[in-house]
Amino acid sequence: MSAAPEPAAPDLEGAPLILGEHTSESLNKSLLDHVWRKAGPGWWALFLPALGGTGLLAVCITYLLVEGTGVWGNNQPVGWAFDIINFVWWIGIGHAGTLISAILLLFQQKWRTSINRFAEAMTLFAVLCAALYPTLHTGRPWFDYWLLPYPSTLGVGPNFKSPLVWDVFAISTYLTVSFLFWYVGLIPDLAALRDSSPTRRKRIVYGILSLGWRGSGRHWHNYKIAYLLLAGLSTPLVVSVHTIVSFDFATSVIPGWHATIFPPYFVAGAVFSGFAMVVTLAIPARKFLGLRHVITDRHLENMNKVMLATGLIVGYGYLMEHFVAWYGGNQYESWLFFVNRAQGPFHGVYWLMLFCNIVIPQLFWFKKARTNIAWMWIASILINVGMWCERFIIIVTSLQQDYLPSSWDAYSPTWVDWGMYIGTLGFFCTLFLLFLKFLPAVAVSEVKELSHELKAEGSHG
Amino acid sequence: MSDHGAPEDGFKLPVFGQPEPPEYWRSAEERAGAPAFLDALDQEFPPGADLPPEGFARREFLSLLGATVALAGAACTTKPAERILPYTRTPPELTPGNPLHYATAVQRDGLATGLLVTSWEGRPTKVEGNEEHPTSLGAAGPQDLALTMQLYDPSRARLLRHGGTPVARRTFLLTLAEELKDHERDGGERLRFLVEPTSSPTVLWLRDRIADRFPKSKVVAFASAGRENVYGGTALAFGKPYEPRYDFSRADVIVSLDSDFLCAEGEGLRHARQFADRRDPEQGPLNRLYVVESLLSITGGMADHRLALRPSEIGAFALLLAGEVAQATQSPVPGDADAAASGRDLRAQSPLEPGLGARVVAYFADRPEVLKLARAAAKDLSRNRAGSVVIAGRAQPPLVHLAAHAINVALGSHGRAVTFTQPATPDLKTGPRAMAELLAEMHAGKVHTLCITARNPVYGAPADAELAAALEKVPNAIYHALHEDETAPHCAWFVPATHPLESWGDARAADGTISICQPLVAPLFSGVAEIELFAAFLNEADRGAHDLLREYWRAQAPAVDFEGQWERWLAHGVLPDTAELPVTPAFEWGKALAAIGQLAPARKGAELELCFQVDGKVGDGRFSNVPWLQELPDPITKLTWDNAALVSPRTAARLQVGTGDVLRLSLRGRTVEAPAMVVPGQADGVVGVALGYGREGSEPVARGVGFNAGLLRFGDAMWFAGGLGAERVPYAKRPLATTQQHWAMEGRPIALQQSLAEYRERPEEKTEALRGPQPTLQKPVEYPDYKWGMAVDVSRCTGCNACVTACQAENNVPVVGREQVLRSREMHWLRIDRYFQGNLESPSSMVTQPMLCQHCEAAPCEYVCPVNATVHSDEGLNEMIYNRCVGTRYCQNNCPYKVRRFNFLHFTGEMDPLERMGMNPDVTVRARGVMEKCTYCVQRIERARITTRLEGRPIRDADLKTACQQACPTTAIVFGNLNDPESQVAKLQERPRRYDVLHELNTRPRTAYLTRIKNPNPELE
Repeated sequence: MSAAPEPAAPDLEGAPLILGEHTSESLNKSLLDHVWRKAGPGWWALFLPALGGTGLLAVCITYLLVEGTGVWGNNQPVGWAFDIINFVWWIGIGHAGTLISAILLLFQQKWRTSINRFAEAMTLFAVLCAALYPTLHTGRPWFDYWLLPYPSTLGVGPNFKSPLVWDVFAISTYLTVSFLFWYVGLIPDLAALRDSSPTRRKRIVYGILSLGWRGSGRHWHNYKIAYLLLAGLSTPLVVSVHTIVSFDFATSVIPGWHATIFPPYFVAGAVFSGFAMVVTLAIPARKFLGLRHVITDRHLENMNKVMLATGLIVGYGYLMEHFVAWYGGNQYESWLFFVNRAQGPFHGVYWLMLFCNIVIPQLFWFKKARTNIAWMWIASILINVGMWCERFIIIVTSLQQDYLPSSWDAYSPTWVDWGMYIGTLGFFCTLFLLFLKFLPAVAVSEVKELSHELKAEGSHG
Repeated sequence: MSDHGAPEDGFKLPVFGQPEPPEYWRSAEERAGAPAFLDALDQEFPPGADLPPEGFARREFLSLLGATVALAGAACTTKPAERILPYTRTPPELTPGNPLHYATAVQRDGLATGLLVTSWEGRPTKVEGNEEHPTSLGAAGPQDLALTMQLYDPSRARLLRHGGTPVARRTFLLTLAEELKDHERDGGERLRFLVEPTSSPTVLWLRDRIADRFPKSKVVAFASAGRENVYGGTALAFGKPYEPRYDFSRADVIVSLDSDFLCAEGEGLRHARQFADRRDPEQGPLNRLYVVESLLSITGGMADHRLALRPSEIGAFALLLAGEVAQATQSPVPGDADAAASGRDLRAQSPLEPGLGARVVAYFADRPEVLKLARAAAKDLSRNRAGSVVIAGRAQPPLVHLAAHAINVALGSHGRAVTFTQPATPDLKTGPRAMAELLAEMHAGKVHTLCITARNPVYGAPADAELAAALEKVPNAIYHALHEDETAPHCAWFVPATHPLESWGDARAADGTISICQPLVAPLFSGVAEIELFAAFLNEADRGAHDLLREYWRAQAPAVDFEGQWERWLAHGVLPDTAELPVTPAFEWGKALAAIGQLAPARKGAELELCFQVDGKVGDGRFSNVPWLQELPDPITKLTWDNAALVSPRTAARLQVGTGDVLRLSLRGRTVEAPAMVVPGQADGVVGVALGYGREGSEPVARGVGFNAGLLRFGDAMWFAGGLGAERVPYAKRPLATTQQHWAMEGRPIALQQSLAEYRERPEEKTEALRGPQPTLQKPVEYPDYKWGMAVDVSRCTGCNACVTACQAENNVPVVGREQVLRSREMHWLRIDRYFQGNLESPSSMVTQPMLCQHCEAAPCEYVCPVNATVHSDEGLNEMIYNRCVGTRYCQNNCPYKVRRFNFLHFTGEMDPLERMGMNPDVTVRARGVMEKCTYCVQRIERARITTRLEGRPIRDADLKTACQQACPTTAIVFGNLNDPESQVAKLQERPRRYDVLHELNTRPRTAYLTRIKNPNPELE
């Protein structure tokens, strides 16, 4: 490859999306290389603790199933705690994937190309982690299937008035569509892997996974249509899933839950945390997998801008909640927002939430902050901490002190609560590391396409 | 019986050091190979030989049927002790699946409370009050209600033993008979009895006969928390002890001097009913209650005016009040001719001197509120002479009681609202002074045989009595008790007692009314009834309690038709017209005035006082092994599974402790460590401790719960003591399992309270915005047939906890234990919320509010359930379908009243087969992972439906009571059909005081509340 001088990008377009001059072969090689490379000590150093976390999750789940929900800290009045906090948190994280893949695709945002695969995988694994919680949080998980509308000889079906039933549909749809979207996008790259397989066994495995992709024009035609359709299908899901999750709270009568602002505020929060998680994962991944030339600083900066925007929406949500509590003159809400949350037993979590979700993203107004890798990595982690705190505040404090002061009580998590949370983090990392090891972390075909497009644009310009 | 091994859930009897016991055995001794057994073998009667010779009484037959069930549950390879009767021919009154109710009675402090017990095929499951009994009036207290759980306590003593050796009942009787021959020679000089106070005519008859046989033997009564002071007070006043009886239905003004008469003292159930009937502003004039006490009690919570004084100052206050009453009666109320006339009258007959209180006025000079309250109360009393009651508590010394009686006599309520009867029990002196002589004899080795029926005296006696050491010197101590408690190891013989629900007996109420106590079940273990034990001293134990009882009563009632009469007695639970007539003993003014003058004010100073409290749950420790009662929240502190050193907020600040910090309490060289708990409304400088905890006997539930406050009890300071040292143990903490953490209402309209004046002026001012229809988009559902609803009158509710235990017993509500209560997972379907009003430093009042499922017509729990496990019935019940519940807990989250309870763990899993027998078969026992809550006792509604449908008529009020309603001593809870205009609940819900809790949410609860009305004295406003 000749190291031709970079074409000077027009100022309005910002920094380039692919650094350097690449041919299809070189992109193929550089982007698929991490699959064929032997796992290095770095990968193992991450994988083993992650696997340990998965083991911890298995231990906690077994204990939970043997003993009952009481091994958690949930109580009366705090019927939901870590189970639903973590559920909402993981679902929120799962949002960025679909947003990047689908909405940005429809808006023809080219910069999405090198991070979409990544984000989609993250979505899928996060939704898997999320789905664990509502499945296991019931008192008798072996009867969870009663939430499905199957033709039951009992003559009883689910209660369609309950947001939990909506949840079942929302999440299972989201999981299915996210998987399909991710997998369809993977097919050309799986075929590329098949074609470049060093061994026969790998060739067979990737051959099966690539579903007979030959790269013919007809294939590409169908593929493009399918991908576009799936993008269209998942676009409403970005909004619907977290809207429905927010209905779990918004349709209730509990002060702090019963709020019409919840759907948009939850969706914004989800995108906020999802992007934060993508940044958290992308920064080390692009370094260790050598993907700096496709996941560029411009990508990261764009994501920071999204975080700033959604962070502001979240901040607006907080502001409105407090304003309405004051303006509405409802004594139960006033107590909740101004006494219980701000000064109550978990005021530390509340102020941490405000710091992480409101103060931290404000720094992204400055380009220096948006482009400083170390800073944005720390900020993205803090934002996810803040979003976890937000769910904790919404769920625990609202339940803890609702209408009758006689029923107010303390809440504290047990080791199983923490164990399951750490366990799902480990499980997520395990899946993500396996993904990085065995599948192309960047959508190779799309990057190649983009590269061609950019070249074409360059030659015209 | 099957000769195969015990079924899986069978429990095994303990094995005594024999590696390979015989597979079949007739008694524990044979199994253990004890030599005593072999001696007794040839005398062993065949089982059933002690049955009454005239054949089976109906009750006994059922008892035996009960034994069938009992022993079926207790399946082991031994033969049953009694004959088992197969169910081939059903007794006529018994339809399998339909429970029967039997009247019986239990004694507390030697006084009976009449009960009705529900029995399923001979298996008692539920205790209720007997409406015909003068003390119960249909209600029952938590301890009565928990009797079934005590009956099925698997840790009850099962074996009669001598030292460590199990012994057959026969061996015991033979050995005792031999010993008694010795005693007969010296007239019983070395024979003593330490008894629980009793009013049982049959036991007293046996005791008389024992006294005849052993003229030099002596009986000493002992009760750790007895009513000695009450009788001491009447003895001082009238020269002879009487049972004071208070008619609160006639009392217009009541002053309580440290008396918790609404709950713990004497006839609490009757008092509460009569008192509550006078707290209903729609039904006549209200009474007014002044309470002067040290620790906040249930009665104090109901007070219109309350004063917290140190226990040692109550006497001074009594003196002050006496002086003020004298003053008030001497200066007639202007403009009131009647009062003036009676005032002159009184001057003539009452020599109470106005100067009486002068000595203590100076003492209280720095506390004007005390003087003000005493003056106002005295004026109030003197305005309502015949309707005035001054009542002193049992913790106060006899002198305070004397002062109270003097005031009553001076006011003229003597013989009207306050009457006297002959005490039903002769065991009036139950304190350490009565025991002192016995102790001296024991220490001197002069007692050879000591028969103890007193409840756990080693634990209950004051620490300085050193009863345990004295018992070691008694070679032949016989201890008769339900459990191998702290006293058992110090006695040579241990005789397991039968439970009150499994033994024949009789007892008298405070007014003398006699009840026959019927057993509901044959003894589950080889217990000996109290009557049989006393009969053993006459060599008549083999006749059995039933036979002896009937012999006594046959002699008392030489009617032609004894059998018919007996059946009637048993059926009604009371013997008609056996109440004592009230007497009007003459008050001895001369001695009394001199004595009252001795009521010296307490030493002033900053020193701490220790104040003992009889726990409303475990009593003096006799109910410590009953999990229901251990988990019952204390009415005031809401504390479960513990006792604590209660301190007022100011005292806590002085001692620098908070709730959960550990205090080291020391008194006269003895120390105890106790967790502190800050309780508003308590007198400053007082540390309150509940008795009955810190048990160290063999009872597994009771062991290790709380600390033993009795270790700081001395013979001369049984109820309170000055000079207490208290210091915080650094870094020590003990979290306290309370069921209510937040004690203020935060200005929310939840448990409403109004003054009478406000109510009279504008009855609906507080409530009109809190009831009635609200705008809604949904079409209201019609309930054409039945429309179940409840009304809870907070004005009547004292917060006594009877409903909580009744609900627990009726609905198989599990006990979760301290750890789970600490995690806030208690399962009570009905809780009593208690709020303090005013600031928490010195609250102006306390309100209690029973909170249970409100059965909202628009229930927030229903629409959120994803599987339709909680739905509405066409009669408006919010129903819970346990089978369908997957346990998302969404309903619990969305319940604004937070009355739903979740089975976080398998709380009903580790139940002993014996405990399972106490379950109500009409109610599902819930498994882990399932939500539950109050059902409005739907099983009772369905039973009433069956009965009334057979009769072709609708269900009316009389057909149906919920368990909580039935137990409530004050009838604060009323349940019924809102569509029936004649029903009481419909009428109550129309009252101006009616309101809905959280009405603004438009949940349209079926449970409505009525505001609490306070009747403060305008002079004290």
